[in-house]
Amino acid sequence: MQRTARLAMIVCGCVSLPLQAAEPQTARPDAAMLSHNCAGCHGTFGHGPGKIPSINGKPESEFVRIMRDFKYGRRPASVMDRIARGYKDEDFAAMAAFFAAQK
Amino acid sequence: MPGLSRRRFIQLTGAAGCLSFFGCSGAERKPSKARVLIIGGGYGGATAAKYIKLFDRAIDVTLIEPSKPYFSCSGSNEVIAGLHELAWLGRSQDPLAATYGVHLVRAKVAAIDPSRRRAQLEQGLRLDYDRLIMAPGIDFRWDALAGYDEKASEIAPHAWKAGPQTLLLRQQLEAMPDGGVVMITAPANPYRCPPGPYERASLIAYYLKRQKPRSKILIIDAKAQFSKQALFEQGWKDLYPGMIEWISPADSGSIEEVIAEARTVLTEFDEYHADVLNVIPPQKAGLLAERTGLTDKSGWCPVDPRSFASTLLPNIHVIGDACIATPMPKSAFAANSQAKVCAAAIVAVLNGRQPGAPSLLNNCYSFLEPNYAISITGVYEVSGRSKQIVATSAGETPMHADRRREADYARAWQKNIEADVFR
Repeated sequence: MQRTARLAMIVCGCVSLPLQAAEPQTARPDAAMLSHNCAGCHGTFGHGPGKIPSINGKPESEFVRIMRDFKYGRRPASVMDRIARGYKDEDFAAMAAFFAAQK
Repeated sequence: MPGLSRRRFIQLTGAAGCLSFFGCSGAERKPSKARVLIIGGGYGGATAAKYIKLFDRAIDVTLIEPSKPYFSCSGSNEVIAGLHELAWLGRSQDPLAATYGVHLVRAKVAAIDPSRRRAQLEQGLRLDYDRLIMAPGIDFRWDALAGYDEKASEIAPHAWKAGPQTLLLRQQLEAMPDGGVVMITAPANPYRCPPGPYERASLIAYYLKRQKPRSKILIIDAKAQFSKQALFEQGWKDLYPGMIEWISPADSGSIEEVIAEARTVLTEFDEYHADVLNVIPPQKAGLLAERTGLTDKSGWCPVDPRSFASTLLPNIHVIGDACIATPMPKSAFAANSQAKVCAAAIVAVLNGRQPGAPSLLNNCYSFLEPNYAISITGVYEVSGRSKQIVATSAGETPMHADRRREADYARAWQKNIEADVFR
């Protein structure tokens, strides 16, 4: 469907949410989508007081390295290793950019 | 109606008379981009309100929640065990109004008219919407377990919605003599907080071990296995040897009847008596969802997980415990995550964009004592092919892991999720 046609249908309310399937092979969740889930433990925009580390403002390379270490079992953990295994490596770069931009 | 004067409320409802996205341009009041109405101010509904405003301030968001304070179910087992007072579970949505401009309405919704896109409040006022998010939580199937209706729950509390029921169960435990038997019945899946009955048994054991050490806990289960089972059973062996007995339907048959006055449970093959009886009954989506026509035969609300839009009625989304989001559990964390997917999808569509691919997360801690906790995690996405939620990873606390650290994380999580949802 052409984008304009699709937009027109949205505006008319003729199409109920969601629209057509996103392309299955390419569609990864975007950086915000991935990152806002982290807030459940790490606080909104990664800023959480207390014993769970804040992750806002963390340098991107460090963020990606830590997440990869969790995922591939190189960093001791009881929770984050399990969580990291649920994401693709490219997702870590997206999340890293999101949190590096939060002050 | 705190947070919203009556006059302001009437202005709002009046302005909502013109519903279409661009149809309000002639109105005196600065037109909002669209009106999103959210019913239910728990973990799901409050998160959705906050995140829609974070994503697009120009969308008009109204959150309807009658309870002030709202009592968090998460944490309520700690109150039952005497580790905190009930007030500790109290949550207020007021900061969402002050910080993000969410309109708060303290009222009960009498009915929803999906064809007119309108909610009718019990006070007779009406609220119109472009998109409605339902986060009604659970209700109980009072007709599903013989002998256990709402009246029986005043004798044998369920304590599965936090508030007076939480206190009733706690008071009964406090009044029980040493050597008494506490019986918990656990329902079949699905229900709110899968590990909850077993965390409850653990924390009650923590209380009894100190105050009434000759007492015992029986769990009569409707299912043959349960969440984090190996971890719980290991913990019970280490912390409360001989105190907690779990009875599977493989041993005693299904739960047939409750006799509340006698604190007795009849199963197919056996009869169990207790001094304190906690019946966690079979559940379904909140009543308003059922009355609106959002539930299927299962009693829960089918949704498209890319947006949590109802598959039964247009322009209505259902999030949290009420929706069917298998394999996600019905938990506060899951509701928080679903709310963000729903908020992002609605904001995208209201801005003429196609919603992006969703990502979902769950991480649930259970306490076995104040310095001993375990967790279960799941990362989820929506399959491009089947349009179903699939887990891309799932796991539990490893057997050798540090339970004290998990307990520290659990306490930090309680604070952080409260802030992410309600502030």
